[in-house]
Amino acid sequence: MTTFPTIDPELAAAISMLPNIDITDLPSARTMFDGLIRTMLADRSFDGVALRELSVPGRGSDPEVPIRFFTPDNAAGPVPVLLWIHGGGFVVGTAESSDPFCIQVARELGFAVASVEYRLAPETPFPGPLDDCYAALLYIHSHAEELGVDPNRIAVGGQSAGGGLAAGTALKARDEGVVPVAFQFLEVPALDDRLETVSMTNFVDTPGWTRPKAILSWNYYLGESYSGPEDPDVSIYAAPSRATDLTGLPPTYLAAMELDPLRDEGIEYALRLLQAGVSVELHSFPGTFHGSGFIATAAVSERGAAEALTALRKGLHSLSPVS
Amino acid sequence: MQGLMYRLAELDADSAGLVRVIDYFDSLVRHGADTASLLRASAQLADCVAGIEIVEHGRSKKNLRRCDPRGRWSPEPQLPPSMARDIAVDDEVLGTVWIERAGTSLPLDEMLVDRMALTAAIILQPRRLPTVAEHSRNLLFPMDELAVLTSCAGLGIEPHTPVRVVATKAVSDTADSSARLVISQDCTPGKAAGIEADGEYLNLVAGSFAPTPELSEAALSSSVRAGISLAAAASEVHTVVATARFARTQASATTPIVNADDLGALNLLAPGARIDHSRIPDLVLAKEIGSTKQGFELLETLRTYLRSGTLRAAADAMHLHHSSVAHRLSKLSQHVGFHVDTLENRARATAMMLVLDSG
Repeated sequence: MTTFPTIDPELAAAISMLPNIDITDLPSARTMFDGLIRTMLADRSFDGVALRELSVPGRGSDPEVPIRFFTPDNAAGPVPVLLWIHGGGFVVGTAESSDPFCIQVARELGFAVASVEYRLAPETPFPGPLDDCYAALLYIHSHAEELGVDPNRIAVGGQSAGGGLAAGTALKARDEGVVPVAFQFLEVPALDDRLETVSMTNFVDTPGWTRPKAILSWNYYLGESYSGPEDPDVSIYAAPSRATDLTGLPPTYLAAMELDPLRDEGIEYALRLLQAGVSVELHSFPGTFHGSGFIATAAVSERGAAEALTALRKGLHSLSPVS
Repeated sequence: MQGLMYRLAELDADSAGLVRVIDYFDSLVRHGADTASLLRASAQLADCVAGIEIVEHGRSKKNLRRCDPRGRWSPEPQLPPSMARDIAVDDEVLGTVWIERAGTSLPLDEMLVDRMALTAAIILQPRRLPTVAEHSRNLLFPMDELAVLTSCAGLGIEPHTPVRVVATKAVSDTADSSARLVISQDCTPGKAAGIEADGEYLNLVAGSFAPTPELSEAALSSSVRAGISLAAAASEVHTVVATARFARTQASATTPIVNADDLGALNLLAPGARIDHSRIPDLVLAKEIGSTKQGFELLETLRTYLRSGTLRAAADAMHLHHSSVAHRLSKLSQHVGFHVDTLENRARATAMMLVLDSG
């Protein structure tokens, strides 16, 4: 096994204690992930927040999309809202797995959070999962008053595969012109199925995420018609890095991890957004790897979590409230 | 978000679990941890409050820090330490580390505080970490069981992994004494390295290692002789080092590499070694078949044959035709994996029977 000398000491120690989720065997990967999440959620507290389970119309003939909708207690007037899309390589995870983060955003920032239960690949390949996220976005916007949220202060965010779905949702919102997305919040996003960057080429056995896992994950997500990285027909809403025009996208926070295969596609996307005139905050965290934020007590993870919250607060508060 | 990491309570309290704890703390040292990150990582793994107090000469103020599994400092309530260790460097005590576990201690708590103390000592008084060669030497000639596990962790070898030792030496003093066998890295478990010991060169190899004709050829052409030990778990490999050395002394121009497996019970002649009989494949096989009626008969035939000296004499003693005796001996040979009736195996077969009879 390759050793990575630049890994932060606390994260390096934790690596040997991390479970290895093998997505070549999806049923057992899902069982394992659910078990881990259950342990993680065991001590969550809903103090200071209210949770409603919504079910909103899907796109076209799609089934309804469940949403875990968190609101802060004692909200005065319409609050900003984050549409949150969980990670899991497009194939594992649940909206509930993000509860700790959603609760934190609601409690500490006073925002509402709509955590989308999108359908997973490979059972539902693109565009199903993206349509679910976009349907949730449309609903939040059109039902803003009823939900107590400000329709002009909607952020779209996600982590890993969820970050890719968030970027795709933001692109679609820009192109459809119905919902004005105010902020884009991308944590270690999976954006590019072509897998050509240096980090994606070199990191074949990094902890957390690797090139082989990325290949598998894109094949699951893009479905049976996908012919691989050379496929000219991949939608920009599936792989946002393929979009040639990034103008008109909302201000963005993007976090990248040093030893993450997704690092360079994230940084390149941020750079291209900047070049397209989009305001971007880009942060690459040293000594980290994909998912190292789960080792929450490590000093660098705490720094990353605090940074993310600050960026989100600034991103939605800096807009003047609608009169 | 917490929790996507195994905690001490979820590790098995066996040698593999111990090695994981050692590796956890070794990683902190390798990646340059300070006492704050040591404490956070300790609390995280222990899943309870961890503390450290560092003695500061000439200062009355206590330099004491405590941290809980969520990384919060000075958590309340402060429980009495459930387990504590001094941070010692060369007989000087630099301070203390402890954990505050409510309720029953975990089996691995002791190892955890041991490693906390050791890691704190290295952070407070930086020292060089053992090299791969030092870990390898430590595994072959350990001071105690903890040293074995430390080296397993240092070399990245699971303690249960079956391994062997290869001992190599030049044929004579006139030959190039630095000549040795080149053993492919694929055959080497973990990061193990070859070491010099008492004029011999010792390599750790995988339990499945077997000399290829090319390797024997290489041994002949570079005028070295080699012995391969019996197989043992990595954590117990020190108990079979002597069998590699003994096998090496039996190597010759016709057989430049001798496998201890092929010496059978004669391994018990290896000087200074206490060899577990269960490590000797033919003894294990002979014991297995001796428990059946038919197998017992085959062993009795061998006993008579060894006493009488020839097939004919054995056949006379057993009132059998000599071809029946030959047939039984060849059947036994198949079972135990060597020709029990050939001249060159006479000593091995006799030794096998001696050991079987003695226990």
